Amino acid sequence: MTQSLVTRQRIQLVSLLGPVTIFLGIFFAIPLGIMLVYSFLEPGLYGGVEWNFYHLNFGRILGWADGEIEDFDLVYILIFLKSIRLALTTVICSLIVCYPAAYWISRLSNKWKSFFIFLITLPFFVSLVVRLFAWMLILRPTGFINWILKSLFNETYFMIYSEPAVLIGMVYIFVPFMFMPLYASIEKLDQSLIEASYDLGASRLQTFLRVIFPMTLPGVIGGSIIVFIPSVGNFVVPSLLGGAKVMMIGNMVYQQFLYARNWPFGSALAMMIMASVLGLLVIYVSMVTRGTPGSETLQG
Amino acid sequence: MAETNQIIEVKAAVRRFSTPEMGVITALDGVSLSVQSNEFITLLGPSGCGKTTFLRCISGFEELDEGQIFIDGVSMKGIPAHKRPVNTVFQNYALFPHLSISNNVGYSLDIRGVSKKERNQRVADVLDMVDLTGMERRMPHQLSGGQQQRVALARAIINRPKLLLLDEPLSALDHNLRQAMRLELKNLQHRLGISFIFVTHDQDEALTMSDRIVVLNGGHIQQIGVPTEIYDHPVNRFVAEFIGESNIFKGTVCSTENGFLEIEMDNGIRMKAINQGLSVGQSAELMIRPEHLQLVTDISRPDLPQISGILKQVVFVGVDYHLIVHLNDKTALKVIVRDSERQAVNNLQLGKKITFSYSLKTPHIITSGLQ
Repeated sequence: MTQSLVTRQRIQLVSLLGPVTIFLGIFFAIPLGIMLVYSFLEPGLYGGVEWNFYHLNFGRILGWADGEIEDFDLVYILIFLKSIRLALTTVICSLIVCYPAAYWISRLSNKWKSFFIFLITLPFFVSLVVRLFAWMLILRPTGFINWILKSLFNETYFMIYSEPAVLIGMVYIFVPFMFMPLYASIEKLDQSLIEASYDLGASRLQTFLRVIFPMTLPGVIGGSIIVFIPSVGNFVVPSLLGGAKVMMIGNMVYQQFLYARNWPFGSALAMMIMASVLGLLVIYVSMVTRGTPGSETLQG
Repeated sequence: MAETNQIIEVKAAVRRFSTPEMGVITALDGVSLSVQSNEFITLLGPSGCGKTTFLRCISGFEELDEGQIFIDGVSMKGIPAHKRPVNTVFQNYALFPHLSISNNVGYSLDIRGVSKKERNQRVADVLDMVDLTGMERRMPHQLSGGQQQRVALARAIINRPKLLLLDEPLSALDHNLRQAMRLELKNLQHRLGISFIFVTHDQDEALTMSDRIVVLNGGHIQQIGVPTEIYDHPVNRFVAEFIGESNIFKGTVCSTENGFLEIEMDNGIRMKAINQGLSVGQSAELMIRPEHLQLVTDISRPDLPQISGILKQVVFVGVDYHLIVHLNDKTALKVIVRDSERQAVNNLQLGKKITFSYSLKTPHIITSGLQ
């Protein structure tokens, strides 16, 4: 009796977790392993790899092109730092855009809530590239904004192919991803806690800083992570809105694989992105949850 | 504490809500009330009677549509909740789950930037007052319901507000704890010397704790009075039925003599009561509490008026027996018989005639709301 129960539970476990394990194994774990191996191999002359151990893929990223100290060159590190800075700015900007909106929508009646959430998800119905082309039309020298500026002040600005243009595109793309986790945690917020805070003499700002924000911190953390990770390695937005001037780490990887045919170096760059994102996340999460006793709600 | 100055005065408060389903609802319809210092006032009424709205108007979470609220002589019009000298104990306690007990209780002091030393001292004092010494570092979810209730109380009184508002604070506790907390609340109120406005739908809570009870229904005050007055002399049928068990019979005054009157009910049964200025032919309602009816035994006084019917049901509820008796037209008469009369109750038989007597002082005549 118990034996069959145990077997049944095992069958259940295998049938529930089997498909996802197989899928992720074939399409995620194995490719990742290949990349890891490739990142330590020598690039072949005409693409592909030579099966020799080669540590200078990483050496090149860190500044030693061929192991000689005089060739020390920070160019890749700087691109890394620029990408991370862009991702952080994207996180902060989308947080600033989303928080008030999520708060406001969470206070509406159910009918209006669904309507606005529908609006937030609406951009997903149109292809990402098409939407970015729309931004190109808006930002380019003969585009919509310049048309207005020209007719009002008779001035034009060169806006596209710059870092701010990339930032606008990034924030635009990632706003829905920030919104959802934020909204989920703001919506859960008990209205009586806010009233209790007012009742105890706290102003609106004090209430926000002492009650609302700390209690919605799980949503802030969740949203930040979901936006930060794909932002660091994003290459579509920089290549469309940044042009050749704004080189981000995602574009580097893209170029190494498709144009330079240097798979080992591309793999090494990808591994470095992963490592730095993981490292930053660990620091971030431990920083924001330190000293806030409510951090157990994160797990719950 | 001897002086009885008015802490709060509410004049003709009106609050309306517009709802998509039911149009405009008037939650408060001309409610006036004043509370003295050190007074324990209970707002009693069924759900939807406007009692919580009234509380929220005082605390500043709702604005009045008409009327005025004065706290300590100062009009509260346009003054936001965080600037009013009142504090609230919320129904679900509303403890901040991300703050420790110490930070919950000390919240209002931290907001005002009270020095750490003074703050910690006051937190310790007030936690001592509610028997939670040593709980400072705990988190709210680590406490039991009763302890959370005390934390909510401590947090609300740490600032010594002029007025403490309590919104059904005991409703989430289990029966025994609720009983104990009633006395504790009353004691605490006495010790602090601040006025309490306590909202409840539980008549027992209202009767045991209050200095005065305000009975609300449909946005109107039905009656204000000390508990015994509300219980013994309800002004209308609503109050009589809402507070305590009651038998209410409608009838017409058929005779008045020597300060007494006799009412003939619609079913032909006559009952006597003290006349309160009625004359023959007037219609009135007569209320008698179930515990004021005595089983007629051989040694009963024959001079007392009597009423009889057919015994239908006997329920033992611990301290009392609850009897249901059908009068001649099947109207139910509720009677409560003390356990001390167990012998007599045991001799009763269902379906047999049974007679009760009552003192002339006990029936109460209600005239309000009748033509």
